[in-house]
Amino acid sequence: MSWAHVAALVVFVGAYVLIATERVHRVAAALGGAALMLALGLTDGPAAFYSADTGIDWNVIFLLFGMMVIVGVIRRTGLFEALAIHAAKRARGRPFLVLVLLVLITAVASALLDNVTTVLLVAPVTFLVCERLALPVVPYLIAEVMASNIGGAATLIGDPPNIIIGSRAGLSFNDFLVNVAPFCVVMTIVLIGLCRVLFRRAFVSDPTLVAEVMALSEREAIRDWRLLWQSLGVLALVLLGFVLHPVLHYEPSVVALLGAGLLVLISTVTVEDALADVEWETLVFFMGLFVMVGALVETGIIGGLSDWFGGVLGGNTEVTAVVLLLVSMVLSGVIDNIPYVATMAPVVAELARHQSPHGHVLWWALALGADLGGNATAVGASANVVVLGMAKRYGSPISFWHFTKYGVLVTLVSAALAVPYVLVRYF
Amino acid sequence: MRAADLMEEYPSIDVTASALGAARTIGAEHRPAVVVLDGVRPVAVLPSSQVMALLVPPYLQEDPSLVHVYDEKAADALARRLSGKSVGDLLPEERRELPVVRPEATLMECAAVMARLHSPLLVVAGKDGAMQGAVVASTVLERLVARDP
Repeated sequence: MSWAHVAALVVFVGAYVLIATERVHRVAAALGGAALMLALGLTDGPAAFYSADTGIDWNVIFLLFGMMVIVGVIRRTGLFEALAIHAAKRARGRPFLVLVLLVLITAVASALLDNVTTVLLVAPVTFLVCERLALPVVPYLIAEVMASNIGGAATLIGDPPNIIIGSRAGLSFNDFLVNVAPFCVVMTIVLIGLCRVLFRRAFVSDPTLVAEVMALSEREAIRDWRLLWQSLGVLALVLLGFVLHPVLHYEPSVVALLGAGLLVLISTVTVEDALADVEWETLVFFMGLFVMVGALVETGIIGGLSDWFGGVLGGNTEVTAVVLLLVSMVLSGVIDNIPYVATMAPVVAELARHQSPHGHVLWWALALGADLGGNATAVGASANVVVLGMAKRYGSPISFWHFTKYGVLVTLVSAALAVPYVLVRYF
Repeated sequence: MRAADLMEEYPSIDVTASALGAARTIGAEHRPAVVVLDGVRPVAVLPSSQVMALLVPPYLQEDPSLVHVYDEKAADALARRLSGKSVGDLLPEERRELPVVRPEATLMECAAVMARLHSPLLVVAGKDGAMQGAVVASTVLERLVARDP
């Protein structure tokens, strides 16, 4: 092992520990690590900024950026609040049906937008509906968080790890729809069934309170109808652009940027407002991660790790896929799945290259493991952290272990279904 | 001109009184705040915004679309959020410096304390610490800018 290997590993592991323990801000840790890699000559400017394999993946950055702008405009319309209130009214205040509809709205919205925005918008309505129906809000919030993580796994744009996987593996929106979405549909139905059992005590309501929910007017939530139709029109065009990739050949990042630009152009939202919801910190975090992981590739550590994996698993694709799926689930439950997938993507790329024709299965195993593993603990995914923070602020705190006991169960069920899904479907 | 000349009678409420009582006092007296007393000594100025923050659920405060949906008929539910709570529960955990002056404080001293503490209200307390009244910002401004420069 050369000094370059040792130095790259020390910098990378050090940054990872700082990110995981939150001793310093995750952006500072990722940028600091990237700067050290560059300063020590473990990677260089051309590789970090211009290489498609070992540098910042601009497809990922601009796809995230474009979708953040679109989502930022859509959230100003009040659409989610209106949908959730409409769902509660359609359920006529029946608690389990309210939960089912909120779970479905959250899962579908998370697949098309992003998980954190979705739960940020659905959770407040959940508080309102539960308060009106005198229901405990915690089971509903936990179910929504899990639906968000499951729904987000379904598409290329649903969860940041999928964006990394899609870009690194050259997988399209349609590939995710065909390979991951069907499992997520099944998993959402299973989640609803689990909620029926796990939260059975939360479904007792007072019929006299139903009028309180029926009195809510969802139309009042829509603050700008013109903006709503413009946003939905642009979102539909963007989704069409993703689906028509085989015909149009536009990269997902280009489609998202075109959509964001068009929406800002035709709507009355100012550029400042449109950019206000862009999570610049997240984008910079990604850049730092890509440079750090790129240095591991440049120094040959990733290649060595892939060879070691391949040797240990005997080059058997079935075994590799199952191990990757399960290990990803466990690790994503305890560490942020974004840096995990950013690190594993080049490893899986190497493994997949050596294990064709079934190599692509490894990407699906990584996606399912990393996305669904986020449900395992209270810190497994950003949506979990955000909702637990909201619950605390709003006076209904959910403890780490309270969430985790349900999270582990749902993750175990996910694993029990995902393993046969991968094996039966692809081998 | 001294604080004793500028002060007026101002509504106050005991720290152990009900939170709903404080909200009603502020509403009935058409004042932006109420002075909170511990016995006869002023301990805090409770602004109406602080009462509002407890009255309106935080999930509504943070979601402009959702709060637009909230019908006024449900206002009874909001009032219930204050039941069982005392004025002391409405005060922030970290007590801020009380905007208080002696009756002999000058007009400029009053203005300086209000400016430093960003307070539209100044409690006037005697040597024994008991509240004698309060000076409101409008009175101070009226005196400060009475004449054209």
